[in-house]
Amino acid sequence: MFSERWICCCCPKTHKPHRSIVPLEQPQPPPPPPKQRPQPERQSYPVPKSKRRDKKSDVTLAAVVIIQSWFRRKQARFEIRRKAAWTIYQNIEYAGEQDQLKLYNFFLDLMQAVTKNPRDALVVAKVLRRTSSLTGSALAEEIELVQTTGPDTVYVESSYKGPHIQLPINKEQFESLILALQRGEFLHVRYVLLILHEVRRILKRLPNVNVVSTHQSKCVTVVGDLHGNLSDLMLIFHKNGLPSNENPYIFNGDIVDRGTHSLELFILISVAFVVYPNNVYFNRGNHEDHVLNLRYGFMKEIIRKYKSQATKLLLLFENIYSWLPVASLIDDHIFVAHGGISDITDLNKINQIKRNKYVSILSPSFIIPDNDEQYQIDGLSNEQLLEWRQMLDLLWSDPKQTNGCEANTYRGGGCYWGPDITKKILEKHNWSLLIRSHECKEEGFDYCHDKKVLTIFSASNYYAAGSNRGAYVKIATNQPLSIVQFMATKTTVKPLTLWERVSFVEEQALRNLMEKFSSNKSRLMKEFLIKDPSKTGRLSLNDWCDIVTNVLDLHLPWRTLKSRLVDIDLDGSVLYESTFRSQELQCAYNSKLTHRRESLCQAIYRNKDLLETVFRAIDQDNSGVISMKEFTDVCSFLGDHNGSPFDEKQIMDLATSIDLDKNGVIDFNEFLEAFRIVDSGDRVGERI
Amino acid sequence: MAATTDEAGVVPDPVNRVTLRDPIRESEERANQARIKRLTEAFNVFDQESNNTIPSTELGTVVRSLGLVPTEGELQDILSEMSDDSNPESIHLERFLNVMNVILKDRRYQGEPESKILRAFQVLDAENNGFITEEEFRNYLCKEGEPFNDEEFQDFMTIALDDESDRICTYKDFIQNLVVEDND
Repeated sequence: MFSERWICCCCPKTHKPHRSIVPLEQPQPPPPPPKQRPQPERQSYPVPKSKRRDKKSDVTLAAVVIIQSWFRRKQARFEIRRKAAWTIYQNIEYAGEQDQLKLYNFFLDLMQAVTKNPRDALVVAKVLRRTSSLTGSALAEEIELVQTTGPDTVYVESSYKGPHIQLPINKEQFESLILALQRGEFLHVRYVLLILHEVRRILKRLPNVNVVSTHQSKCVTVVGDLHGNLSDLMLIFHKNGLPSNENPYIFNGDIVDRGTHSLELFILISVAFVVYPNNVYFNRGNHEDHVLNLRYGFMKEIIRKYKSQATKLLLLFENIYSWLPVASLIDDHIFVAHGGISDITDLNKINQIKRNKYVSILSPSFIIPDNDEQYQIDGLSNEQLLEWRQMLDLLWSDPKQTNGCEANTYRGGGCYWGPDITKKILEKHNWSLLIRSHECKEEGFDYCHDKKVLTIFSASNYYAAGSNRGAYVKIATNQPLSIVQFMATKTTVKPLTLWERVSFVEEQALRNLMEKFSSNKSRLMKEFLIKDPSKTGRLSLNDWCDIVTNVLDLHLPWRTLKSRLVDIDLDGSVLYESTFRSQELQCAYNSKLTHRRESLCQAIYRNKDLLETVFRAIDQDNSGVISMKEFTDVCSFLGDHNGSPFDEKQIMDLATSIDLDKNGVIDFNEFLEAFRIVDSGDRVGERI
Repeated sequence: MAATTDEAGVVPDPVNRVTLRDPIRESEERANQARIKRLTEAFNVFDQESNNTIPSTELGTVVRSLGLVPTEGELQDILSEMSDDSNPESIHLERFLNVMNVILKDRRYQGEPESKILRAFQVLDAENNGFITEEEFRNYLCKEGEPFNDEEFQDFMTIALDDESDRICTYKDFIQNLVVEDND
């Protein structure tokens, strides 16, 4: 329905492989080449001189075709390397998310079996409840929130050199804040709290679905996932202009997590929102959720930047997330949500939800009991479950190419929805287009479902420098959509050629893989030796691929990648010890790595993210330390339920050796930092 | 030991029965399996939705990534063997495997050896300069044979030329880059 043109600006010269999107101005993909046989089957040259003049053009033709074929083969090789690298990133990302969701599902299952093991229940309840302990009336909640997290609870010291913000926040303050953040300045927590409270005040008045109209402004820009990439937002503002009443913006979620400047990004958008409350719109994303912030970096960033004041910020963010609208509707016919839709999506039903009940969309508060002993998921009515699904599906779903609607097991929440569902839901509401984000796309955007669904993703270089472009879409009344791509690059870096880019992105992906090898060394070697009992050091390619696939649980094109990962013998067999040739796992606390300790260290490294998530969750005061008992509880709990049991005695030993002060508490950040994958040949400094 | 009777009424002799292993067949079977796995893996990289199909437009890349060097014309032939008239836009894994397995086994489309590439350049370098200018390349590669489009030509020139380009290419060095190193 919408034709579009796309323009690509200020990117280094990059390879644009054949894509399904073809810009309108250019003709359709070239017709297939003429079916000629360019040369007879066997042409050998040099051709004898007497025949040369007749055959000269044939010979030239033959030569040209040879060069062309070889070049195309080279190009195809690069294309597949690129795609393989992309596959690696995506698989690792999904595996990570599955981890998180597996963990979450474990927690839910465990809630069911609570009476069996009270020790488990405590850990679980702590993780899921976190700080959502504000009970009581709405008014009481307000008062308590202001008292605990209001800006007046902090003083600005005279030594503070950063920007100052005061109410009412205006355009000048917005612009000087941009400059300050570009210079890398630090915003005092008092001002952060000030801004956040203002945002909250305005958010509370908004409906669940933003009503956006281009009547006055004649246009609106939709920005997708930013994931803490401040430079991408700066680039967008630079190309598309700052937000204003004439230049409205919709931010389609996932502003925070993963990147390094989630806080600054959220604050910047918040200030724009406060200055232009009728022309800047927030849609909640699945990462605007404290349960995900635990794991994906935002919480860590806040704690690192604001230390003792972090708790206030975290509390406030938790609350603000619950007030973010869940979708936007442009001119009554373009629906914008972070994840997407599902078979049950219904605007009327969505409008009736009390959205602030869903502090976390993954674990809404009505699921978490007031006391640790009971929980009520069985007791949820069908209506409640359906309502929860409405919210979940908006933020977590992904489109698929085939018809139907099924549970999204990759992510654990939301659905995969097909083109028939798109058609049904669009018709039901009289919408013409669905814009969503949530998935990283190499070109920054992608259409599907017969161009009725547009994915827009605005975090460039998401997996690694050069991995993908970002894009935003500008919608103007009565005009075709305009999609603009970009890629944030450091200006000092000279633009890479296609070949260099592919190599670079691939290198990063391969490092990730090799890390996984090292952190699974014991398990892999065990399987290798089973297949190679006589210890020749060799395995068939098939065996190596199968073992690696099964142990790592990663389905990747191993045969395409093998030459970059391992050493291959002349007869084609794999010298499997070279799997670990370039990286090794080191643990600063183990000067003598016995075989059993090695396994434990690898297990800890593999589960580093999960451990960190759970530690952080039970560390209620965000001090970074937990008791020895809590530490061992968590390790045991995770080990039991993650399929790789930790030996409790070993954990105790390890813990004791880490407890430097011998005062019964462990700094878990320090603990986890001690487990690192390093390039072989480096040594981590000895701690003990 | 109870004797059983088979269809022909002959009673097989369980004691003296010898079963022969056929090492050649077994090795062929293993090679076949390895080919299938290799093909499936390459196919899967482009199978975006994990539904055992790839878009027809990606066939060239997949085939070439396996180390084959078909011309565009030959690629069209391969495509027509495996595409499905009812759904010409995509290729199904099964048909892909059937066609490609034979191609791999017969070692077709192996391309000319490296020496021939050198000769090919020498043919184009009519005056024997030892190099070919960008203009000359353009005339040949974009107009003759199975012409490059603009994009392909640009990418070609980035390998042909050194960084600080002087628009000419000594092809002897260039060949190193063209020839794909990896053995699959």
